[in-house]
Amino acid sequence: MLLVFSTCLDYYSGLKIDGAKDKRTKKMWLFISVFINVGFLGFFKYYNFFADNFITAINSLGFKADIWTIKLILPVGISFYTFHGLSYVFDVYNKKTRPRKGFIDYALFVGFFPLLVAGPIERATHLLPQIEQKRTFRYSTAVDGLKQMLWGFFKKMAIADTCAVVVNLIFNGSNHYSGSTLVVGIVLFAFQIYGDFSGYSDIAIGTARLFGFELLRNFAYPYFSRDIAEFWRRWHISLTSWFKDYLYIPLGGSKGNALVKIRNTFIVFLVSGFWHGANWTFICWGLLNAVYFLPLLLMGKNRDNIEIVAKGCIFPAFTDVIKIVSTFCLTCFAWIFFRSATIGQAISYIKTIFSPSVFNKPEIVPVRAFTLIGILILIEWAGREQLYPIKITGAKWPGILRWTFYVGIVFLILYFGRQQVLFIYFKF
Amino acid sequence: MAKFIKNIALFILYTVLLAFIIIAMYKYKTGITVKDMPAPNLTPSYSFNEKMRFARKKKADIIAVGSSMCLDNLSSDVVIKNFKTDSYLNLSSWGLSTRDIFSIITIYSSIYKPSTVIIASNYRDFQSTDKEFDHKQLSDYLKGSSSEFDNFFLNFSVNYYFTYFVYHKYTTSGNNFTSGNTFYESLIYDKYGGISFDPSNFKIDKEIWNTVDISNLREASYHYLDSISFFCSQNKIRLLFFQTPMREGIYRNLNKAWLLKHISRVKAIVLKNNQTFIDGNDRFWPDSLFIDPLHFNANGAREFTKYCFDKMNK
Repeated sequence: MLLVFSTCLDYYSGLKIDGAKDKRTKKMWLFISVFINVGFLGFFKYYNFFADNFITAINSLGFKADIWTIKLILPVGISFYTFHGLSYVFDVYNKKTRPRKGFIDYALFVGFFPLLVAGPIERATHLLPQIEQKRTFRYSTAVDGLKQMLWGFFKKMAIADTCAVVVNLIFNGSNHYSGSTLVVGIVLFAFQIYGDFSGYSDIAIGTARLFGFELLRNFAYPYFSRDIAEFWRRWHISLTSWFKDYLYIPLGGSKGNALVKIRNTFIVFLVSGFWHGANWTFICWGLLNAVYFLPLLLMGKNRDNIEIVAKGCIFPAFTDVIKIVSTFCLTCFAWIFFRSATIGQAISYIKTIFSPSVFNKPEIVPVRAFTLIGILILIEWAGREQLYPIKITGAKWPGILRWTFYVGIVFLILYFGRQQVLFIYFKF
Repeated sequence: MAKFIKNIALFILYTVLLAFIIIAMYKYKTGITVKDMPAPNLTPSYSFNEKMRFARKKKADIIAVGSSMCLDNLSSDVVIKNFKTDSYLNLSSWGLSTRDIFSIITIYSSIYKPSTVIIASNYRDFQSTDKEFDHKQLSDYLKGSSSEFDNFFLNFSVNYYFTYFVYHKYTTSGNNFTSGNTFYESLIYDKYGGISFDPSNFKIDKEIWNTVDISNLREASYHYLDSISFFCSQNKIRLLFFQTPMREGIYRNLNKAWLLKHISRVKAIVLKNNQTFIDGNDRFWPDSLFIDPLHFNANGAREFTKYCFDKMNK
């Protein structure tokens, strides 16, 4: 119902914005669309968060608050289709795209099944023209789509789900483990969330490609980034670019004095954190990333690493290795907040990591998970210049060898795909 | 499109062919037969699945249900001798929690109506996490109402079968892998489903020998014990709860306050429902009767079971 309502609203708003004779009416329709969309998102995702925090704040002042809280089930994909719809309305308002007369085409853009529940967050300017075009089946595109899906399933079922079991064990009992075990836990979580989310994106992009659609790229080997700015150009690209285009640039972007830059950066990262969930842990995660990013922005070094790392080389330079490892450590540190249930748990987790017990032998050494991560890193490193790593793997091999390679991946998926673990981003 | 579909079909065919070749090579190397296949994938536990296969279509008047404390610490011979009947089945399996035990008792009772349930247990069972399984599926399987073909594809998973042959096959078979009941993981049952560890040959793990895990006992475990006890009373089933002990070397130096508190709580729950509670901790048990702090070898199991029945019959 929500999806249908949101689709109708944005479709109608698009037509009204385009048909408005004066700027005031245009703005009014834009405001109505944004207000209702964000209102729904806010109500279903954030109502209880604000209500609970308000009660806590009032109670801490000695007053007694009795606010109505409700057990709301978060509608699947609301964060994603709300952003799809908003991108369309903004683009129509800014005359980047024309409003669509065909409701079916527009509804398909918002509800396109591969990306409905967890992205990538598409743009009207990118997907709508493809929907309107006549598509023909292309063998090479379909095979490419299947290969990307295969790689996505491997990342989700072999990497993410294997790591998930250990990560849950460690985070659920984080008070009982040594610092070294907690380090193992957070490193595994870094790969769990990467395998989970980028795996889903690969499956979605591959599925769309089978139908002849090209979706936006969502991940570009983020753990090979040499600084945080590069990481954010390579991680959840569709969300980062959405915030850049519809929030950061309208706020003034990196133009203006240092104070404006700082304000804009903090706003974008805080909103990004809050988009992930109604919890202070996500806000801290966003805040921490803003703190990481700001020095680079203020020193004008945020675009130092644009090129693919060690392009054309087999091995990276030593300085690149140091930069990659440092960036990964910073990212992992921020992931502690993302994964913890509460700020208290995150702080206690960090305290244990920075205690002498970090030098103990870890109580849990998940050899299988680390072996799989090793395989992932090797294959991704070898294929880092491609859209996805196995895009051209085996292109020059004899057919039987290439197929055996694919069968090997299928086997790993079946072997590790024993237990169902829900995609993490389904809850956002 | 035709080329795409043809190649997909060929790829599937190639995958099946490759799998067939690998299985054939494995069979040639190890000599496995259909009999060596693992039990159907009913639960996440190989041990429990094996036990369910063992118990399938078997009716018994007296059943023992519990974790490895009941599987290894209860001597089938002594139980048979005491009850003077052959109608006995040990349904225990590694790592069963009190909730799992409750589930098994209710499922088994709904099919075969036993008159007596024996639980040999200690604090470890109150720490175990629960196993997720489908009660109806398990009940149908125990009754024998599903075919072998259906059972093979029940919750089919490549991982389940592959892992079994790589890691677990030695637990159920003497073939190629094991030298009998000399490993913790052994699932080589006696006629009634119990396991007796070979006292002369057992490969004791020094780390396990000295380890006592006294981490938190789960509150829910006591509630499930209450449910077990109540269920037995309501269904006129006699419940015998045997509290299993620790090896002397550990028990003497142990701070026993938490253990005694646990035992008194368990005792109160069992007695509240007019059932029988026997505590094996009121004497010391020499280390020579154990394979680790809590599991008896065959001699220890015999002595402990006899001790419980003697005490009960007094």
